[in-house]
Amino acid sequence: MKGTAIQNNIRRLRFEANEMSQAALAERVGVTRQTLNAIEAAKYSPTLELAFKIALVFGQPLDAVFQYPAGSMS
Amino acid sequence: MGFLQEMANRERRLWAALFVDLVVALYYFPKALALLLRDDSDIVTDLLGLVFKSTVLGIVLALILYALFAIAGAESAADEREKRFAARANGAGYWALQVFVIVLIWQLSASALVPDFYRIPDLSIPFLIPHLLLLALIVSRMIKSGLELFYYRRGY
Repeated sequence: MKGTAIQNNIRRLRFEANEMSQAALAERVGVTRQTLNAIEAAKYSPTLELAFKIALVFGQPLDAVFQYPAGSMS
Repeated sequence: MGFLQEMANRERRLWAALFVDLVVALYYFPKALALLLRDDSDIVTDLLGLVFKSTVLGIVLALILYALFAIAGAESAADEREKRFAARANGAGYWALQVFVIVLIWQLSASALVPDFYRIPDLSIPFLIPHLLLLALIVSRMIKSGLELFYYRRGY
């Protein structure tokens, strides 16, 4: 399955945030649940603005939510 | 029905648009082609009747489908991923329309320059060129809707 090289911890962060649902997080950042699901499954790279919004919901810095592995550039 | 429940509202609307385009095209074009090829100079009345019936068919189908989807849930504004899908699909639809129009321009020019060689299709048939352009518009819309649906199903 082709996706994006950007990895994320959204699933774990949702679980730690009182098991927040995808729909609830999607509503808070202004996207559809399907889009949030695609981001979480690393199938879609969000814009920088959306990535910041997601990080803000969890009260985390951006790089605690999204990571770009060093080997991905080669 | 689980398949429908899983879809975003915009995706359902795209399925509806594709379905309406397909039904109207399948209803209109075979009948229009038969009229155009009829050896009769007075086809205008029949053609206008067919255009009217096809328009009503399209409007009624769209109203029914969109009303059903409105009951299922209100459509929210497109988010960034959906806008990206729409942009990519619009590009492909536009590309297809461009290709068709360029081929038609070529055919028109070539049939004027070398009439004996470029006789198929016979572009001198009354109302054929507007119908070819209409077909190109509908096909490009269907390519746009179909590709956008493909992106929705693929997920990225």
